[in-house]
Amino acid sequence: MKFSKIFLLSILLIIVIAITGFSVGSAAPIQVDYWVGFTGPDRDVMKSLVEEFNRTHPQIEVDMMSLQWSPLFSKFMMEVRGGTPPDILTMHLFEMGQFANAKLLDVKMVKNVGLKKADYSPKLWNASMYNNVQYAVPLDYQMHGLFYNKEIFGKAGITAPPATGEELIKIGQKLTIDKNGKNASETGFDPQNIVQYGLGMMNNHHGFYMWWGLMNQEGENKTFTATMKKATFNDAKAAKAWTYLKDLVFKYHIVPKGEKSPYDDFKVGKVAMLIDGPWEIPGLDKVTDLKYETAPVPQVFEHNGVWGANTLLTFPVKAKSSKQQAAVTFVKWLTDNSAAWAQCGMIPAKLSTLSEVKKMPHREAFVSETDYVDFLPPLPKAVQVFSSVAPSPILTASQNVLLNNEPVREVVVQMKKDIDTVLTSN
Amino acid sequence: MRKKGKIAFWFLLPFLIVFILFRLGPSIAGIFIGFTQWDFTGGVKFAGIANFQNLLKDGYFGISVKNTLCFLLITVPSLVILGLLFAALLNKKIKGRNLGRTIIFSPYVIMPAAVGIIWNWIFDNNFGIFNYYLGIIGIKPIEWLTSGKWALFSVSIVTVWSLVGYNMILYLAGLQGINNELYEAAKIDGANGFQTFIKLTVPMLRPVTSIIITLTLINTVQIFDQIYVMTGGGPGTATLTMVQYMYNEAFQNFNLGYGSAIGFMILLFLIILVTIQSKFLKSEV
Repeated sequence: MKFSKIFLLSILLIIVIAITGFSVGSAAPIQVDYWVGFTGPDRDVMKSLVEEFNRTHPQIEVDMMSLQWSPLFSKFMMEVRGGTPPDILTMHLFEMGQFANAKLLDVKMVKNVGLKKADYSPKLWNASMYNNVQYAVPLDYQMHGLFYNKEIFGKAGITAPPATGEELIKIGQKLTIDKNGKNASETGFDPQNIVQYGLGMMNNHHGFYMWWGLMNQEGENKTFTATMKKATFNDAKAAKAWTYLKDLVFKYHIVPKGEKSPYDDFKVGKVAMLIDGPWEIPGLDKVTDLKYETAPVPQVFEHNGVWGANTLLTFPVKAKSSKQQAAVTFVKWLTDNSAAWAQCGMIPAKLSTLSEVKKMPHREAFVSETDYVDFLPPLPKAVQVFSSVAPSPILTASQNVLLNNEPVREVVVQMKKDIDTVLTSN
Repeated sequence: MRKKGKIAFWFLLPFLIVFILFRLGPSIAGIFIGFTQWDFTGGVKFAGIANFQNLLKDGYFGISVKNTLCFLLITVPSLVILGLLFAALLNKKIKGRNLGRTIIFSPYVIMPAAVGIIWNWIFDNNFGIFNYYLGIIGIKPIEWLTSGKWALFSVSIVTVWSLVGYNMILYLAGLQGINNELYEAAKIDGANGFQTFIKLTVPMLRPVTSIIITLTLINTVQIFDQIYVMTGGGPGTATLTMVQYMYNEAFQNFNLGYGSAIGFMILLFLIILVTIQSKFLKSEV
């Protein structure tokens, strides 16, 4: 009897301590839900930044959740319906339009961060706006660039990376070698038995991004706008851009047909050059045998032009939130400390960080593209138009050209039709 | 007896609650959502049969139906025939049959997403083991997952590999239910092994085969993860199945109404196929 009384009292005591004990002594930190689409080295860098913030701000605890971009937004929409969206959500400009249009983003919170226009380039500042309203805090930007293997270049006697479209083909052919040692520009070259390719490039939605860059180079950068209701790009120029990319694969044989992972191919020297983004830098730096450098994407047509994207920090609208100030504090801290974010390869949006970033290895080529980088616009239906999952208009077009070798004219007509279907749907 | 029934009810209750909440309820709700316009961000509007009318005009839905049919034509017969052959072989008292059963069944318990990742490597154009061995025997590399001509066939191979063990187990259960005296009688009548298999085993397994075909149809129509991981529905639209398209519309483009309408069409599609196969097998009896 005595024992059971003591036992019961002990249990009661534990429960009382569990409920009250921790909250009486010290106030629990405010938990901020922070959802990101970073899944590579960028996740690790962001995680360490979050840990640093949590360490230096004991009254706030940022809880970072990382998912790939597509499932991230699916989850976000589910949570919006359930009334529990995160406090902070990362996205890109093109995705922001759709969410801003649906009134899911809190504009007041962005104002509370107290951003200064002078801290950002006009391009980056404008890329946080939708319909002249600032919906987001700029974090970084990224774009395609050219990675090249210095050893392979040296062995072939090539001293500089290609700067034009013609040079890219010429150098690419020289570096594409068959099993008999002949390169792609020599007679007797066997395209069925290639042991080393000149160039690796992605054939998914990034195929469209390369096309986007080439359209910019042809001066067709104003045809995709935030208010567009119909795709009005020039068909001939669109076909010309796709043809250039297609020829790299099927005519000049400098890009492996049906390439699955250009990044892995570049790491092991299967391809001598790679068109990809700065997010690959940390991974490539870890490959001890690889000596590489970066250069801007070659200018194929009349102007300079390259696809780019920017990462934004947004505050989803919440019915009730006692965490707003904590979320603002974290975002402000993150932008103030964004130079460290450059470790993941991305270029921080704040101008004050650029001089530091340029000094980091392999970054300068990307920074040099800043003036002409072009971001996908925040179409109200951008998530569908620019989706990376089949049968999105851009993915279907890219794979039909770069994998299925379909006639470019037909692909352009179909792509236009598919984009229009999305834009005019309810 | 009544007491036993009550006990059974209480044992079944947890499953029934989960089933009703997470399977039956959403399925019925899905049918109703198919008649609405619901883009996730706004309210729900009744749309009548507009989603279904749009489906009939939607070229990509047509492609997804065609791809699903092709996928079923490759996978279902392979899964049924190979399941039966493996079961017949491993039902015999041969050395290592337990190991054989384990090896064939084990892919079934691997998570579909992991299956997709594993086969992505196996099918890799440059480093994949398939192309490596093809190269040794002088065959040019095949673009397994990156060519519109091969991709659907490649994902079908993976589906057969991962599901055949399940069919084998069902057939093994069926084989063990056949009376041994029938085999002895056939032997006395002078039937050889092949004749016994065709004239006795296969007809005796007809009820099991009917169930297996039904289950295989349902399972393969619903295949999502592997294809999503391996091709994402591409290249182009080469592996875009109805389920892939439904996911894309509902959870990528946030068109819940349209996605649910596709779900409803998948249900109809399955009902038609299962009805046809059950009638076909019945008429054979």
